Order: sequence, then structure tokens, then C-alpha cells
Amino acid sequence: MSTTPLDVSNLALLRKMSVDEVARWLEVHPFDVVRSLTLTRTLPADLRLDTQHVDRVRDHGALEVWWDGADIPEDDGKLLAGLIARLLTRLTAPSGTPRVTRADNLLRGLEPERQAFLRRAVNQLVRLGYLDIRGTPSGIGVTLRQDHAADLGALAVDFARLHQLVLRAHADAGLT
Amino acid sequence: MSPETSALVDALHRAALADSEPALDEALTRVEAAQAHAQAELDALRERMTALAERRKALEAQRAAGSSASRSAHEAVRDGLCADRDRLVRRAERLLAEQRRREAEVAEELRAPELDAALREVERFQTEIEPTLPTLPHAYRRAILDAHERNQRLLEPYAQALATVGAGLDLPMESVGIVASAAPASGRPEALVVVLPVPFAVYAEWTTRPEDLATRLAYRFVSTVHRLLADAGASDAPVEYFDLYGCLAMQAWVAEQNVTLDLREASLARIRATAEASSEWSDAGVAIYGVWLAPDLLSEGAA
Repeated sequence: MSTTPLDVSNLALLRKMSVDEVARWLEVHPFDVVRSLTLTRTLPADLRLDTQHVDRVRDHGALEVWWDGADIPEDDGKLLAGLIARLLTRLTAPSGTPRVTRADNLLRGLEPERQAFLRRAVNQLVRLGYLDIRGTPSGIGVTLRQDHAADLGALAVDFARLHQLVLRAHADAGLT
Repeated sequence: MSPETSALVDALHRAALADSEPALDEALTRVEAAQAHAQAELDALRERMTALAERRKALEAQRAAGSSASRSAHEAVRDGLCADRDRLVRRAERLLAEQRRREAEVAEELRAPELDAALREVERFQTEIEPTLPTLPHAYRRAILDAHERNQRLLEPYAQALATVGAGLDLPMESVGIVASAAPASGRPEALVVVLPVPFAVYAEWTTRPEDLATRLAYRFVSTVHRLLADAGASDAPVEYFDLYGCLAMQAWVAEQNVTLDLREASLARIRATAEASSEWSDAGVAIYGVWLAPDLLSEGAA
């Protein structure tokens, strides 16, 4: 048995998760957690949540993790190319009907700084007409403009254009 | 020149040219009559001007009074919201300090060897053992679960002490209002607005704020609004959060949802139900009530 003294954070073992903690885990706003659990009639009276609540929020909110630790490139250009590849595969439905996904799905799994960079890059893609923004009950949704999908695919492998886009995304934050 | 004056001038001309006394007399009589008529008209106009001036003065006074009353109403709403928010913030700070004090106290108590061991076993159960339970033989699984339940029972009083921080503090009761409104004031609603007596930072700065009484009030009443929207068949209504006088306000756009529910009645009933549903408010010494206001009283720029 360990003899390390317990610190106050170990008190978390004594209780279930708070709404804040679940929101941090799922990378959504706590009010999104509340909305999903309310609409599925599963918000507990004491606001204490367990892993079943987490699954409920994930399902109801259509939360997706587009990035996990193993496949996150260090280079911004490669990160953007990776995002474009995901956009093309995940937002193109077999029927050809464009699929709408939550905007925060595109960033989930990344560190905050890289999320900020990619958010600006997504804004560039919207300005260039590759993506459309839609209002949805759970927030901002993103969809692929099918008529520009081929060009977007070409952009992902065009180093010069990709680099230009990365520079613009950094410029938006006043970094260059 | 009017036709009458023109005729009079002509008559005077003719009389002067004719130089006849009767004609001059007649002309003078007509001039005197015209003068009297003009004077009467002038007097009537003066009276009318005086009456209009008085009427204008009365209307201006009325308008000034109305504007002042409207301004006073806006100021009263703003001051009421801010005062409720400040009261709740002070109470939340008081409870958070108590929470911290109690956490330190419980952490100290948990250093007792038996409790320390139980807590470490709970930690091990949650991180290592629980995921493997389905793979274990039934008897072994049962024994592990029994041990875990014993540990939980041992630790339960400490968990309870952390969960009911307000209870036993005997705090003086503070009342705070949840303000609701719908726009337009009559007819088919286009927007439902609910203002909570908590700082806007509860929404905007949630990553850096502790989860306190204000946060939990927001969670419960955000849930209440979503329940209300679902009751109204408007669960898909877009909802926005915004800052109103430093308070957290939420607005649901229901114009396209064909809401037939009486939003005033339903909102107040839902707010009342939420206020009565949790013992957290009475433990914290907070009484919550709902208020329905005309939408123009919530328009910030009008104040």
C-alpha cells in the first residue's frame, strides 16, 4: 500500500462528477451537458453525473472526437491537411447529401492552442467557399460544399496553397 | 387681398372719385364693419393660440412624466436584477469558503489509517479493478464488490458532509428573482427571454470559475428553460446567452415553432417547480421566485 499522503483532490473519489467536470471531459460547454440531459430527461436532481450520463450527452449531442493523441501532426500544414481529409471523408454522405456536424467536433481532442489555430483555418475555408456554416439547435454546425469538394481535396495536397492558408490563419491571430 | 377687402377698396375709390357724402358715409360704415369683423377674428385667433399653447404645455408635461416613469421602471428592473445577482454572489462566496473549510477538515479526518486505506481501495477499484470486473469469475467479482460497498459505507458520512455544505449553517434567508418575458408583448411569441440572478461570467468564464451556488442555479434554470421549450414543442428553438446588466440572460427564438402554450403561465409554473424541487436553496438560505415582465422593460438601451 502506498504511504503517500492523500491530498484534497482525492476527495473527488467520494463523489460523482460535476457538470463542469463532464463538460471538460467532453470538451463542450456545461450548458450543452445540461441541455442534452434535460432533453433526454436524465439530469439528476443533485447534478451529480456518472459515466452513463457522459455517454448520454455524447450520443444526444452527436459529439465526435476527430483527433486523438496518436495521430495529431506537429506541423500546422499537416494538421490542416489532416482536417481536410477528415472533412472529405466524414461529411460526404454516400447519398451525396452533405452531412452537418457540430463545429466543435472538428477540433475535439486537440490542445487549446491548436484548436484556436484550426478554428481560424476553418474560418478561412468558410470564406473561400469550401464549407458552409449552419445554425443548429445544439449550436453552430459545419457542412461541406459538395460542389467544391474536389477542389478542397486538391488543396490538401497542394503544399503552396496549404502553406498560404496556414499563414492566413496565423495572421488572423496577429501572430505574423 | 381678400375679395371683401378688394370690394371695399373699390368702393372707397369710387366714393373718393365721386366725392359724394352719402357714398363716403356708406364706405366708412363698411370699413368700420370690416374692422370689427377683423378684430373679432383676431380675438378668436388669439384665444385659439392661447388654448393651443396651454394644450401644448399640458402635452409636454405629460410626455415628460411618461418618459420619467418609463425610465424609472427600467432603472428599477436593472437595479433589482443587479441587487439579486450581488446577493447571490455573496451567498455563493460564503458557501464556497465553507466548502473549502469543510474539504480541508474532511481531508484531515481521512488521514485516519482505516479511512485512508478505504479511500485508496476505492481509488484502486475505480481506476484498475472496475474495468476488469466482467472478466472475473462470479464469486471473485462478488467478493470485490462487497469489499467496495463496505468501503463506500465507511466513507459515506464524509461524502455527505461535502455534498451538503449549506445545511446547518443557519444562514439568513435571501430572496432572488428569475425574470421571464416574451416578445412581442401580445400575440404569437417570437422570443422567450429569461434573466438569471447570476453573473454573466458563469456562462462566459466557466473554464476558470469554480462551480459554486451561482453556477448550479444557472444549471438548474437553464434546464428549466429547456424543459419549458420542450413542453411548448420548441425544443429545437435556437438559444442564445447574453449579458444583461452583468447578469446571465438566455433568449430562445420560437418564432418558427408555432408555440401555442401560454408562456407566462408555463414559465412561472416551471420556475416555481424548480425553486421547490431542490433542498439546496433552503440549505443555502436562498428563496427563489419568478417574475414576468413586459419585454420593453428588459431592453437595455431604453433605460
